[in-house]
Amino acid sequence: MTTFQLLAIPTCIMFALIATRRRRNLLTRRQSLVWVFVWLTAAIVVTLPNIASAIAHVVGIGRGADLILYVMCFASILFVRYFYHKQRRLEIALTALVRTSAVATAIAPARDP
Amino acid sequence: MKTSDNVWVVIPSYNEREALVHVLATLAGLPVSTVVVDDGSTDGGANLAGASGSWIIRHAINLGQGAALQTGIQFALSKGADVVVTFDSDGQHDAGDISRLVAALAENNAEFALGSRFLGDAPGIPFTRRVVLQAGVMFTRLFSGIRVTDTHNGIRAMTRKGAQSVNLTLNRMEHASEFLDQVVSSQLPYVEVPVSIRYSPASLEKGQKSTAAFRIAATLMAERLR
Repeated sequence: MTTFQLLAIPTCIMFALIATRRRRNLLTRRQSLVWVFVWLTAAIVVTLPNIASAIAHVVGIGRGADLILYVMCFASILFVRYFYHKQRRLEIALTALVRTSAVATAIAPARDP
Repeated sequence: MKTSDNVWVVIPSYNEREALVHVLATLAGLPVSTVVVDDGSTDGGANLAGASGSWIIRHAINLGQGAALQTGIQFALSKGADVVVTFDSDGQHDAGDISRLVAALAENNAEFALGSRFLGDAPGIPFTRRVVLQAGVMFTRLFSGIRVTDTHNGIRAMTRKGAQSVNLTLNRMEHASEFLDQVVSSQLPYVEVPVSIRYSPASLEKGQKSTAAFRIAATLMAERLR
């Protein structure tokens, strides 16, 4: 077993166990299952790297590492889009809240036109 | 401007205590109603606005000039404004341009009258600022499809119909491009009007740095790609 495998496998298993603590991490049941699956898959791929290569060959990609890279790029784009949209919704909601309060407390001029 | 026109001037303001007093003084003699939207200032400047005959609206936190403008536009419309003019609080704009912008709406059957310093006058404009603004013009022509000579000018007039078609959701300086996008999508007629921009050391020091253009462009691209 390589040094990387000695470090990465326990780390992946630890994160999989953390993902089972739904209440503490505010995860729904589905979210918890997804993250457990992600971390256990990572642990398996690290343990048996030939699996990634085998899957890569099936889908026409040369190397397992390339397959993982493509998957990570795709997942990263999805995550960025998801959090950007979430942030924009929050910004719009906050603005509406501040605006409503501000208009409700508008101060008329000393001499009303 | 006819006194029968219900013209409202919206002045977004953030920590412009000294300039704001002067700006309101120059507007005092005009047949307009004014509303200062204080965007979370910490210098107490908005407290001085009421004595000059202006409405004051205060954002509890600093949201950005775009948010302040939208607040002011919505407020003016709620007060029955026939024309809404946006006007900066840093003293760069000339109150005399307001009547020209308002007149241009009627003369050209336009719903938007957009101020342009490059059709008018901008003495003392720094070279880097001119370059960045011209790049902004090219960027806007490419991505918004609107051919204007000044894409980042805070002085503009719009009819009630035009103002009702505006809904700025980009709170910071990106709102200027969003405004032009909405002018295009409204399919309402617009006209450019020569205006004067006065650059003073104080306004240049407090104003946006030219490098902010990169952040604005990045935000606009992110919004387009979402």
